[in-house]
Amino acid sequence: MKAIPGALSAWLVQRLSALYMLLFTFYALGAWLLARPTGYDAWRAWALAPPMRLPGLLFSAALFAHAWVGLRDVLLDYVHPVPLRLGALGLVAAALALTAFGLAPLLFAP
Amino acid sequence: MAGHGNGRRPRFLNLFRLRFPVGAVCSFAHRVSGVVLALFLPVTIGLLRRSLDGSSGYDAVAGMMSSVAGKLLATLFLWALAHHTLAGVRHLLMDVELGSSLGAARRSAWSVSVLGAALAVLAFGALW
Repeated sequence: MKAIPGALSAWLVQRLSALYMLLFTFYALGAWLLARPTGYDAWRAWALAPPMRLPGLLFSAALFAHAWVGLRDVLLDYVHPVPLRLGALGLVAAALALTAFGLAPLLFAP
Repeated sequence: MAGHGNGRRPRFLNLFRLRFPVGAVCSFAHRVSGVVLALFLPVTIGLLRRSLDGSSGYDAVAGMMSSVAGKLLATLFLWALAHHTLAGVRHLLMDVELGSSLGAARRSAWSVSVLGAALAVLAFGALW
């Protein structure tokens, strides 16, 4: 059996991102329960404060890496003809990139 | 397949006669829930942005979340999140050889699938 190039790093990315997202979920849930921000002003102040925004930024990076590896694995399992496979991979990559760009305004929000 | 020992392969697979062990169901649901979460990604990011974009946007998101369709979609999202997370943790534990014997793997596959569904029902109740 020949190893697929990058298979080990994809495996590792999937597990490391999963662990970080799990930790962040507990952290964010705990912080939210402690603060219970209600109303627009409290919600915005809570969500965009550095203790939420910076780990949240890393969470987004982990999430998109995780989604890419996962969707890539699904496509590699089910789509076999090479042109179709490359097209599908390109489409998913473009859709993920576009979605990730949607987060940019939050990154630079005051 | 057993009972067809004449060297001929089965000509077709009857899906209703195939047995799906609980591990297969749990694992496939992990995959399905992952795809569901990926499909929700633009929606959740859009809602997050809208909720942070002025108080009218915040109220609009709150309104969507309290509509029937919003609650049903949120339940689907929370099932996918719960199952994917629990089944993922199960995978991580198996990576370090925890619970990877057949009996333990079957039990954890049951627990994970039932707990994921139970959390979805709980979330449905809490949203309503």
